[in-house]
Amino acid sequence: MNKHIFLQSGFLDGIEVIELDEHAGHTELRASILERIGKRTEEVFIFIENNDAEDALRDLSELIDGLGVHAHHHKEISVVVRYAGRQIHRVFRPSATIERVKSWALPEFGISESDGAEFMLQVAGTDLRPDVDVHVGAVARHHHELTFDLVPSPRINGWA
Amino acid sequence: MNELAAVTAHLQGGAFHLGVSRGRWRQVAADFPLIKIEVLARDGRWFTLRFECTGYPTQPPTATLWDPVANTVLAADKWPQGGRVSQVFNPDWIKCEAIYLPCDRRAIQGHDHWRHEHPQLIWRPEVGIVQYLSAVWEVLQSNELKPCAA
Repeated sequence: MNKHIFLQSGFLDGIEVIELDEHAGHTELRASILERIGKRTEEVFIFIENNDAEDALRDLSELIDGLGVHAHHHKEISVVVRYAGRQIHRVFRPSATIERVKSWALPEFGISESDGAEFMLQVAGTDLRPDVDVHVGAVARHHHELTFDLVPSPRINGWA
Repeated sequence: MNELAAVTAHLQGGAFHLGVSRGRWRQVAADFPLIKIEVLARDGRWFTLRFECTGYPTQPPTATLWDPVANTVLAADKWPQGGRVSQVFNPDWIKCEAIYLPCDRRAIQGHDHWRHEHPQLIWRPEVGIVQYLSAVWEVLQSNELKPCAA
């Protein structure tokens, strides 16, 4: 049974699926990623979703169906989250998901996990609220810094 | 690209499949322009959305909650309720015929103020049906969602 790997990248506009033979390993995956983004191996770093290790892909003994990976030309994305007049900062791998950034930010602002379901991350200066599975590297694109505002989830009222 | 090809491309795209892989939604049937997709709520319930995709993706789809057993619109007393969940899933609005989201073709009519109140929820043809699914999934994760009545 073939394996499906989800690729995100600062070089891509969306999420791509790489389909590999069930016996494929990290070498085949790396080659497929580079082909998909049109880059050479020395031009990019490849990370596993929400894994901070630099060589996590190489160390994988087996590719898991559904694995998320990220290819970026930066090793780190500097993330700022702003809320209620405060701001916090942390460096993430480009493969960190929006969900992970939010999970880090909520307790920093004294918001419980339960109440956190009523908040979203919005890219500062835009109306963009990336989905929870999106990687920060895909939002940052070619930049290495990213600022979010923690905003309440929308309440849809019928009348202006 | 015609309507069917466009919606097929989005259903075969990485963003849709990632949502399936992460257990957020799953496609159950397609008979264009009708498509049924189940979305998972935070309490483990799966809600079936029946999309009507005429004009896709230039026009947004419209969707309602569907009862796959009775093969009809989901009864009003089975719609998810609670806080902001009830704002989006409002069975009293146009008799359960659509979901009250700015990215819904029916709902956006007469609600131009949503374009500046909720710009992130205004239909984006390039994102397509995953935008709608993500919005529904996000609402169904609200801690205001009332548990299912026994």
